[in-house]
Amino acid sequence: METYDVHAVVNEILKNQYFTNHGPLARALETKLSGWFGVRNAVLVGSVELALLVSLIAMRKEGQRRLVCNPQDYSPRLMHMGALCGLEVCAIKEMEMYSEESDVFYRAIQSSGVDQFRGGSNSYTVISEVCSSWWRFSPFVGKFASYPLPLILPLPTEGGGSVLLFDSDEDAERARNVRSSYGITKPVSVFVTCNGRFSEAQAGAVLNFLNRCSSSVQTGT
Amino acid sequence: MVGESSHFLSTSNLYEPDKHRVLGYVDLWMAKGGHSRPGVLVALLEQRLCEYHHSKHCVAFATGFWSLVACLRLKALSAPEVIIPSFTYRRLADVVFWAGKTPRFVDVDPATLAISPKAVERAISSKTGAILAVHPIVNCCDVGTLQGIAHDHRVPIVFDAVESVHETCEGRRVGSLGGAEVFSLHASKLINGLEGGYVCSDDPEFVARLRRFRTHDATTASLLEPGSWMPSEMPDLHAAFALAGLDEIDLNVSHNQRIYRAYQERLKTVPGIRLREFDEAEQTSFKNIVAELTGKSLCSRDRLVQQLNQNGMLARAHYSPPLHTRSYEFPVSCPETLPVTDSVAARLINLPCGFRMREGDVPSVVDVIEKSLLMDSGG
Repeated sequence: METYDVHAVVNEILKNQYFTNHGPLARALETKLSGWFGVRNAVLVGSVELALLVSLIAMRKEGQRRLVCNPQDYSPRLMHMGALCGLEVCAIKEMEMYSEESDVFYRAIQSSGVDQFRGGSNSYTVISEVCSSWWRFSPFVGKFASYPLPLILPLPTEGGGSVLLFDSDEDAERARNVRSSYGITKPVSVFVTCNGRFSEAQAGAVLNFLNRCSSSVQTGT
Repeated sequence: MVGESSHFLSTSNLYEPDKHRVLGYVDLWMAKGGHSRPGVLVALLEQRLCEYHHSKHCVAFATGFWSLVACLRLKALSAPEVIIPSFTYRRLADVVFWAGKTPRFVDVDPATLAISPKAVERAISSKTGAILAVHPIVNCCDVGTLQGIAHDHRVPIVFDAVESVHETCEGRRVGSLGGAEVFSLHASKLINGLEGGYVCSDDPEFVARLRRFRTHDATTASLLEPGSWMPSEMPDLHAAFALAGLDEIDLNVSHNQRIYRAYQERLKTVPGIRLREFDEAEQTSFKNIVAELTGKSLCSRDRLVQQLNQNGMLARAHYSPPLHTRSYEFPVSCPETLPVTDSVAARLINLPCGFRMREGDVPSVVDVIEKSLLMDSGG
């Protein structure tokens, strides 16, 4: 379990006097992560499962009915998230050969296999998820932005949530609007909204953990 | 988006618990294992909320939204519709979508502005999977009659009580009804847990299913019901804030009561506007200040909201637009006209309130209201 200085986070929240969602700590974390990963947009979401739901709805196409994955990526988790979005989850070995134009693809990226990852062709929607504690493998961090976006990454600490990376401003704005009205840049029409909000406590914990990691690296501790 | 500066008057409660009390709970968590033992403070919060609500069980969630989805997913029959009021929280139809159902909008009662039992009874059919009865933000819905209708038609009922943490209905604390009652711990609500929600129930089997719904480990039992699992556990730090807020709830309510009394006093002489009064025969939080524009003013509600906002006072159009008038990309149902909702929808306003409001701020808000109403009446 990744730890953080809880007292410091409480003090920061109370000092900022910002208790609802997407306040100064969440904004600072989004800025830090988008810079770190070299993408235009980092959208914080309450959990990795919510990030999957938010991205599925934000990237939704008319007539979409299947979420297609490799057999090794099929999991109860994916089945439930697909069902919540009204999608049937199919595990297909030859994904590109047997898929339909309206399918949305799910690709899991394990830390050991990042270099072997192949994205889908341009006509498909591909949602990729990093399924590892990426913060423990800092040399890989820069590579994630080269994978098809949106990309879901877990965040460290208990209840640390998740970040969705986008280069497309339009896709990112749809994701923000699906997430909640907090933190949107402008209102845009989306299929459905949910509460995928990210709290200031979550943001404070992740920032505190990442800052402590950075200072440990700098001081060699 | 409007910020949360401490000088900006808002319609959210934004209660600030005592720092040392929050840190005391953090220290308790650390003493019991800290980061390696998540859930310690959440379990304590659930226990305290059971005591507070006189409920046998309480299950905390990461948000109120997903608490509602969980209740509907686990309670509703296989029939496709969930009956909800149109005049309510703007995302309630979306909650029903995530529950895998179609929202069926019904009207509200003209006196209480709560979901109308008569409208619910008219709407019940073989398509009804559940009733989602929402307590309005001032006072409660007609719990007894709605429970009777649900019982007679053998339709499950879930109460959305996110704005009714401290209320009683006919002397009975909301949260003690025994079925499924959902609350929010968002910072804008009475108890500030930063973000969160919880469900009160006396049904152990339902509570066990709720716990499986929210856990981070997908159980084999859930595989039989796709969509019956959504990890949504509350972080302990949120629970620390909520526990501190719960300890200080009487202070919070007293503050709100003073604000309400100040509005009551000042608004009674202003023509063209009427405060929605709390039923003081019941226990109440006095949290939300809702007023209704009467026929005496030519000033529209939206213009009044604009005038207040321009003066740095965040007011909002109350539940506007109503859900049945919005457009949706997912199926919704509203076969009847909703005359009461249509008639009140443009007249109600949420006025600044909450912990950051001082009694001394009320006269300035009412001055702006009075001037706006006079100006637009040609006065």
